[in-house]
Amino acid sequence: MTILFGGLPLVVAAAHAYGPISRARLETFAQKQRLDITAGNGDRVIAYLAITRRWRCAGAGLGCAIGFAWGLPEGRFQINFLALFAGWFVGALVAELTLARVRRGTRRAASLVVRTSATYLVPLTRGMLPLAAIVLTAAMIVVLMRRDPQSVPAAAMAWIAFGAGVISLVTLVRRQVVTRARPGAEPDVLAADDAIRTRSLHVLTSGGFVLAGISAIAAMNLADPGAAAIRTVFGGLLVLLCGIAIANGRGPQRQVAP
Amino acid sequence: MIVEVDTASAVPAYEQIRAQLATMIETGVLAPGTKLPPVRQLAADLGLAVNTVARAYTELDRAGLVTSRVRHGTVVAPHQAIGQPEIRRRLAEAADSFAAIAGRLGVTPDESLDAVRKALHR
Repeated sequence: MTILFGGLPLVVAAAHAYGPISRARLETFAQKQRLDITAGNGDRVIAYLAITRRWRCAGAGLGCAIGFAWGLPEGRFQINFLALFAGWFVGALVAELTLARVRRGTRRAASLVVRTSATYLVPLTRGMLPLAAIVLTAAMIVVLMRRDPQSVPAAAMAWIAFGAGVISLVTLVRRQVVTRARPGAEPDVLAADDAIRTRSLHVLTSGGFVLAGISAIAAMNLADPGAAAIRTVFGGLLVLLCGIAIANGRGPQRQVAP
Repeated sequence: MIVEVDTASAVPAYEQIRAQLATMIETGVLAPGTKLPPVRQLAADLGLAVNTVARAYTELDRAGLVTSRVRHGTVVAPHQAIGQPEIRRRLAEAADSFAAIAGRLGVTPDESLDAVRKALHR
């Protein structure tokens, strides 16, 4: 029974991960990213959607199974949302690294247009990770102020370290997404490439913000258990809503670079 | 603006990049103050080692065509753009060498012009 429940998320994730990319999914992506799907760029977008979905599903399934296994020694049969989300996020990071691989011939071309995260993210979205870092620093100050240094809970500091690690990792992978090879090709392929980077950066920023936010809330709850329930509900809700808004946000109006 | 590199060519990749950027800067296609892509970005796009692109930028810096500053990146330096006669001379030189290759390949003038048109519209 335990194996059945523990393995179920993996089976569900695998079934979802390897299904075909529906036309509706493709159209939603195109609409959100203001992208015209053409014969030249369709395959590229479908490959992106398939790769990211596969890795994110695999991560979510694995995270869910680990979360389930985590509670077993204490006799708890539960789905751990945080483990599921963290797994999904790790899958999203791995997917971006997988997408960086390209096959090349001997003749190569590159545009001289400078790419930065500002090319793909509006200022508000770009500011979310620094905001998460500020919130995390504030949480650390709360943890250190509420207790005398001898009684600072190690778990609270571990949450702060986890949040800081997530922000650092997202910053690194975001940089990799911006600088990874760009196809020197037709305008429609370049537009698809821009749309893919925009989507990737939004997903990474959103995931990083949510995980760092949850870490800050968890650390503060350990330092000040009095208001834990209120903080968890309202803080958690705020972080989640911000995360959803970031993930579904649009990038700046695109101009197809030569 | 596009930079192209042929890794199978006998000319080193850094020299191909340097020559193309130098021409674009000298002719004014890249205006003074234009920021060039970071070394890492160009290296990733061309599938080359970071050092290869960095060497091309260093050569351009030495020639006074660009200025590189930490945190500001590489920017096209102020310079006197070459005049139209020089541009025409270089174009004629390139056309001569293309015509010679086309002649050796045995293609007709129409086919050659077709290839040029296609290349220009790419």
